[in-house]
Amino acid sequence: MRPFHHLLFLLFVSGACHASWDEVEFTGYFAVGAGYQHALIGPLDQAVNDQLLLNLSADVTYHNFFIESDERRNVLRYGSGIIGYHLWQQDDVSLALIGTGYHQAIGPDLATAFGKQHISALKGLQLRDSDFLVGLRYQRYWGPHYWAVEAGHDIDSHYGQQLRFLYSYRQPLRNWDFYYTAGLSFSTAKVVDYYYGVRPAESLPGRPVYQAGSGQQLHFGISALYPLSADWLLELGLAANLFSSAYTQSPLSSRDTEFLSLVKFRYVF
Amino acid sequence: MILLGLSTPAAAARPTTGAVQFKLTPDTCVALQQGRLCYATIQIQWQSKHPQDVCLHAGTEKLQCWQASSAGHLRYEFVATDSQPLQLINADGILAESVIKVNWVQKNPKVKRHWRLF
Repeated sequence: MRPFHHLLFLLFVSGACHASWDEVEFTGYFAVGAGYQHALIGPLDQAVNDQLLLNLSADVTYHNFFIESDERRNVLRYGSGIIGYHLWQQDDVSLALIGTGYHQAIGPDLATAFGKQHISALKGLQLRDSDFLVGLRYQRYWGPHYWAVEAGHDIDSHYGQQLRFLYSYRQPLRNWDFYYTAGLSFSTAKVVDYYYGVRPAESLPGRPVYQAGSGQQLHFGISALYPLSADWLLELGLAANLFSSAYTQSPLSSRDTEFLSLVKFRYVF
Repeated sequence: MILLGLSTPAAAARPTTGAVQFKLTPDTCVALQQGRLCYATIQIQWQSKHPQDVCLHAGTEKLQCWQASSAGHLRYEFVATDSQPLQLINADGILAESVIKVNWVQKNPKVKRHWRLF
């Protein structure tokens, strides 16, 4: 966790520490599972495939402050929760100041739960760090429907902006919950170029210099949640991400469409 | 199979008059949220030393009766939001009883979860 994230965390914790426990709502999760992906950048597949996924997260609210685990809406965002403050909320509608990571790190040496993982196919690339965008989110629940708009500016790595639209539909079926999700995101050239551009110093035969422009991503996902017991949940997820040419024309990109899948057992405490 | 979603082993028999065994497998249904309908397929078995006329009741509903039987079995499709008592009754009264318990995953009743993922 980088210094800024520490700061946000401490701000939240210091606020929460002044609260009586009655005012804090907390649900913690420990998840263990496995994923399989065909990522846009093929060599990154090994960071997920054949690996055990471990995740510790929580949903916390204290007055208008909140931390949302990544478990909430999109099971296919590995390990990136949201910290935020509700500026306004009424019934099932809210406007919040949020901070969250959208893009994971890319590089030849990536930090994982089990230490550093070396990806030799990405040798020579400088590390593209994960981002942390600060922005606004407007969201609304309407029966089985959920939709949200998020706009944020990165303050940690690429300093670009991103706009995201997310829609999700929940279908209960016996004890299962199925979630059908669609998302569309627009990223500025700073974002796309930071992750998918190739600098002259990184260029190799077969990896020409590339400067990316702004780009779009389209996301389709289906996930399912099932209660195994009062403490354990089973979670299944499938998703496809489609990318615009700014992404797919990068020499780092191996394919046009990304596929992700996930099986997870989640302990709730 | 784990995906069938019934999480606990058979309930211990709770005979109210000796000599009758009454077993629910499983005896617990788990829902994602409190107040939501919980679905479970419950195997109900009973056995007594002597043949007799008995009826199985779920609350006020009569599920099945057996005539001059010393054992019975019923596959019961449980659908309810709350725990439900089951009673094996003969002409003399309650022979045995047990409860299908309903649990849910979330523990904090103050959290407004709406339909969200956990």
